[in-house]
Amino acid sequence: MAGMVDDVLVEFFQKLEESADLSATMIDGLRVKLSPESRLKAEELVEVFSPPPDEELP
Amino acid sequence: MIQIESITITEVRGLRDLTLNFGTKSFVISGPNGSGKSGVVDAIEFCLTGEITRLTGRGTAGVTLQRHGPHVNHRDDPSSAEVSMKLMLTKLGKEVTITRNMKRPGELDIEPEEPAVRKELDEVAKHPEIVLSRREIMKFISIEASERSKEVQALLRLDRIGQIRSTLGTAHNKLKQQTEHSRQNRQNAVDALNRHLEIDSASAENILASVNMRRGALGLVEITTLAAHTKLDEGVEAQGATSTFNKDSALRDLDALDDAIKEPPHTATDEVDRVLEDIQAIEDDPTLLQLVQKEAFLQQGLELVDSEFCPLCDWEWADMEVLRTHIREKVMLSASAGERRNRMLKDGGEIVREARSMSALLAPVITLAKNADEEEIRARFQAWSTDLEEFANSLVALDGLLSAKDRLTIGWSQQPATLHEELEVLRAAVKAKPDQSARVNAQTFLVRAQDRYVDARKARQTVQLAEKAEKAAETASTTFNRVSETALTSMYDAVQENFSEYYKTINTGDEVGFKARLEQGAGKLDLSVDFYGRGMFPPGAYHSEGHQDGMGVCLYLALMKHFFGKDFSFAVLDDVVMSIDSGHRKQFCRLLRETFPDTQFIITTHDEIWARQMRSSRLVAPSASIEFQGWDVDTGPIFEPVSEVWDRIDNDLAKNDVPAAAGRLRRHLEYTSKELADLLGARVQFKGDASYDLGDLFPSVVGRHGDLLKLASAAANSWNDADAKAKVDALKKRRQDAIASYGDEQWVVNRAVHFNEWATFSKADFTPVVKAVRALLEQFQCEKCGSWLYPLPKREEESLRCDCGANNINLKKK
Repeated sequence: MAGMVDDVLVEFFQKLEESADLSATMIDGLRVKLSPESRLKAEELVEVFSPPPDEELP
Repeated sequence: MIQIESITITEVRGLRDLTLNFGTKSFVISGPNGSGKSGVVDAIEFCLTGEITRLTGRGTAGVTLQRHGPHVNHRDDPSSAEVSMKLMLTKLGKEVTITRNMKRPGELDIEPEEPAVRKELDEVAKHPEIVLSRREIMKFISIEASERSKEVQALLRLDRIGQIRSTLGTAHNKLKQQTEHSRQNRQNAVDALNRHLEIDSASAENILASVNMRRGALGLVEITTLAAHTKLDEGVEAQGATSTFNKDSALRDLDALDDAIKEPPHTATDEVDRVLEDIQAIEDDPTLLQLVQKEAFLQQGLELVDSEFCPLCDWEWADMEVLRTHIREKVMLSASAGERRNRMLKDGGEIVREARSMSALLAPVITLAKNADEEEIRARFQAWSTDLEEFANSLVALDGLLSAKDRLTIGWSQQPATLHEELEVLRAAVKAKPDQSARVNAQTFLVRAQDRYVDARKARQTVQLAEKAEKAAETASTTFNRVSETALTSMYDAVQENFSEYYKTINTGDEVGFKARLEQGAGKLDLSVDFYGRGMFPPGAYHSEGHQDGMGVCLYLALMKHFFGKDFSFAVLDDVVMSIDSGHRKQFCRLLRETFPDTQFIITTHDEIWARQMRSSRLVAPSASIEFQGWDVDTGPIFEPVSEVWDRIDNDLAKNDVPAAAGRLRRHLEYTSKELADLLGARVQFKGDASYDLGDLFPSVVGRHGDLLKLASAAANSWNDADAKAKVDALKKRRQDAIASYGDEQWVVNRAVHFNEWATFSKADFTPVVKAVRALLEQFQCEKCGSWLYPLPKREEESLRCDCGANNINLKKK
């Protein structure tokens, strides 16, 4: 049962990897921020989701 | 997980020096209140976790482990307080000895010290819930769904799921607000570009038309397409242009701000009026806000109405329809309150947009003030701009809107009193500058156009990035919610099934159709239970407190079973079994014994009869008990190991203490008569006050036993079952001998046992009595397992059985 949180996270990341809405960088960032050792902070997740500005203006 | 072989407690709480041998089996500690039972529980918890829950939490201010954990005589010497336990680590199959001293509660000495052992014990230390006290039970039953969710998730170590869910949701909301903000900034940047280019909309065609007109005047190449690197002022620098100030554009910026503060008047916009109306409505009726939060609850209540009693509070109404109408009105009110809140946020959003727009109009004017060396005006406008931004940020939540009432009433823009005069000062300063030649005008126009074009493109890019971030957060949040809810629902389905089964086991013959439902909602865990087939209700709606206690224990066991699975090898039940009423205790013992055969339960109770029931129902072995008879501050608990009652009577007689032996025998007969009368279904003359004594019960028990053997004999004959007949005949013969022997001593029993006239007896008189009573009682027991014989089903009398199955005597004739 202690592994239930881990199981949920494994499935969660599998689903995210199938999604086109998140980049690999975002998913990697989330893995770090949601790991058991990490203190959960919304501000840090906002940073993870915020992509760096493109060098070229669209 | 673990099982305890033995524990040695030195100077902890009310215990001075106590060693108990549990033998890795279930064990019961009984004794009156204040006799030291909980001290053993504290010692177990301390040794395993380094903490004593009783000394932390509410109502324990000023109480500390190191100061108040040791025996009171050693309160200044925590090093003297120590607990040592010999454990079996069930997963590793290893025996270890662990010791924890109160001076260093964070340190655990392990012998033998091995990494795998240390890891296993560290894991155990994270589970204080293996000790369940009565006050903990209600955590799962009679609390709000949101609190239950937290408690259960904390128990199952699933609180991380709730935390992740909440953090992802918060991040998504923040990004949603950022997107909205960036869209407003984009609009303001585009407005500034349009104003400068004197166009209505920022289409490529309009932009190029405006720019190429100036470029043509300067003899510069026409721009045909807009791209990322397009420079609208390409070539201007090469013409030697040095100024970036465009007089006409500056005047248009001033006019735009002037127009914005004149039309429309901000205190009279429709949005502000509506927000003020809504704030007033909420102030007039504060329940409106609460109703918004209660809408779902009321909807559920409406569905549950099936009588004149309110399903939410049990209040009795005139009739069901009046109650329904009342709840319907509340639902409608709460739905309208929810609509009101959404409308307020929408209207508030429009005011936010206007405030940010005005702040954006101020930006170029602040630059003008700076360039005109009007420092006071610049500072005042800058402060106003900051104030508008802060005001706008405060309005994105309902609380901010409610607290903005005064400002919305008197005019939210809060423009400086000297604004018009100061704008005129700046306008005069701009006009005072020399008129620019057509060439300079075109050059500065293009330079300024390029600046605002870049600003608009950056603002558009920011929106795109914000939308991308918002979408990513939304996907992450909804995906996590979906995945976790599926997992939790599946888990709660399994828990609710076990919970229902356990509760039904305890209440066999009573709530046979009982079922429970655990429903995972957003941040809450609803528990509803069946009430005699009348529907599903919250546990506290109709069930008694005793039944709710039973539910608490069952839910705890179901959760532990689910959490630990096969590793649920140990639990301490600290006086929780008291909450199970006497009518259901046997079934409770059966539940623990049969459903958790590999779990060691350390059970405390202040009810000696209950302790006996645990022994007689074989939840604990006869020797796996201790009875604290009292407590002394200097010596600790006063106790003796619980041995077979016959051994204790023999001990009394060996000491020539006939009164003690007779008293013990009488109490034993009283207890067993009640238990046997219940088990066998003895027919006892009814007494309104239920004050059945030995004379009422014992003869009926003996008679009932004889009747059951007669039934068995008749059944064996009807089936012509020679083996069964031989077995029943043997039982009947044994019974006859015992009764004959008992009858010989009847006169003594009557006087000694019934009428307490033992003072006149000698040891020689009483010894045969004990022997006769013991022999008679043995007729009711299985020779193999020692459990009492009982008919099953209780009322149908199909067979006479024992717990181990060695006795399964048919009572049904052919």
